[in-house]
Amino acid sequence: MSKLSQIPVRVEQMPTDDDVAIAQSILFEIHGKLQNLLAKGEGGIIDLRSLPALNQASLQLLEKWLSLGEVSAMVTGVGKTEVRETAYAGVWWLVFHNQRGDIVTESIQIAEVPDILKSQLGDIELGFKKLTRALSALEK
Amino acid sequence: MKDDDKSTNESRRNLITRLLQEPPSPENDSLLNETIGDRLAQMGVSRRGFMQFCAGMASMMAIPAAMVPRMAAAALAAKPSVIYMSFQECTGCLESLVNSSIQSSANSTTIENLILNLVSLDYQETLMTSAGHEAETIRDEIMAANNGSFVLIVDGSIPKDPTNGYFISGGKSGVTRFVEAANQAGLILAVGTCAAFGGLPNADPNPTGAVSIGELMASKGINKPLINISGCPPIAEVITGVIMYYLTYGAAPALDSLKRPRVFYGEDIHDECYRKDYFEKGLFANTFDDAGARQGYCLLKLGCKGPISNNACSEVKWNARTSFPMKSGHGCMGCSQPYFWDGGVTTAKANPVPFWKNGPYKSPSFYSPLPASLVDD
Repeated sequence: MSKLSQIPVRVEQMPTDDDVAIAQSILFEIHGKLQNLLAKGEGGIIDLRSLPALNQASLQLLEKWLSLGEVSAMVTGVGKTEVRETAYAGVWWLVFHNQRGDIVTESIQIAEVPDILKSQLGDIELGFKKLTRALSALEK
Repeated sequence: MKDDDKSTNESRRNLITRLLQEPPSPENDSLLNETIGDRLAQMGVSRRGFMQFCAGMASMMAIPAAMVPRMAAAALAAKPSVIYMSFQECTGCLESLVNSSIQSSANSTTIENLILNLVSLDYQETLMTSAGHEAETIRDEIMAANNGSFVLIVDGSIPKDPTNGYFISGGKSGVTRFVEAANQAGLILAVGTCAAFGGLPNADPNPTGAVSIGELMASKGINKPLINISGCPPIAEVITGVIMYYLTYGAAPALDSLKRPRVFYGEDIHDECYRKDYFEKGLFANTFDDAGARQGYCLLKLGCKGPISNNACSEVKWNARTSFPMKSGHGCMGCSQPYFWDGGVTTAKANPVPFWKNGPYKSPSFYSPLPASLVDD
């Protein structure tokens, strides 16, 4: 049986009417960007840290509404970046950490695949060159 | 299997392992270009990792998140040449720059290297291994090869009179050295309050006749884009943020009347200070060890210059976003303002007026409270 200290506790703040309104306005924005993604193939990104009115309570509410989807990934490059698909396909929640583990920024990306998960062309080229060199060394 | 075959297989296996695992470098990969992306790859940082860095930087600079891929692509493709020249300064600004910590931790050197590679410091007397004539030759060659396009970072102020004997380096006066470089630069960054506004060398009685970079440029008719990144020292992330912006957009960010980037210097420190609630309630610390000080009351009466100082200390903070002066119990000293040191700080309005010329203080100390007329709210 778990001890009390082993049970994770998360303090949830009761959202005010303003908090609900703010979270709701972001839902509308997500809805619009999803519509754009379906119609034109262009999604978008919402930087949650750049919204001054978005406090912890409305952030928690938004996270609860969007919930979790099927995919989650962790990018371990310069600091860690958590990538989670929400319950709404094409809506991704990204949390960027620095190397110390602090959250640098959080954003929501509306896309088939978030940019941060895609292999970058320059890195692909470099990997290809390394493989080519290794294989040509084999032939010698 | 014969022993010869075993030996051949083993050496082939070792060769492939080595070739696949060793990081790319100019010695082992002739196709590497000298872009930032390739420099990062040599350090084991992928382009994706750089995008993570850019996401944090963009958020800090209020650049739209949708710009992050463009920001990363522009910076990765760039081959910026940067010449960093120091004049009458203490090297604190350079120390700040190399400790940029938007993504770093105390135990990591990766991002410090990244920043140095990002700005591609082709010439910096303190950091480069070359010295003397060799270093000067390198600088001349870089300036000639990148005429009109390199970024010139300057810290320290310069004696306006090139004949007064102060600041001679490489047999040339500070004025001559600066003018030679500035005439060929594409952008000039005056880093630190000494370069931006004169700073400590410019303080009364100013024995060397030191002036700011902006004043020297005006007197020599040098009409190049100038960005002042003031502070003693400036916040590391502010220096690198401005360089990132330039790499992304190919132009300087919006500037205030003192040629400082608005994104970092647009607000005064008081507005973003976490002690402001106490200020609004009229709760002040009267000494550094009274009950109010222990409870985190406003430090205005202890000489805090936050209400008339513009900088990003309250938001970006220092030492990997750990703290800033007010959080450590000391008021703002106004180090990012003109006339810092002997003149205290200015009103930071369109035409800054030093206290010592116009205000009630003939010789304001860092601990003299601001007059109420200068505190807006």
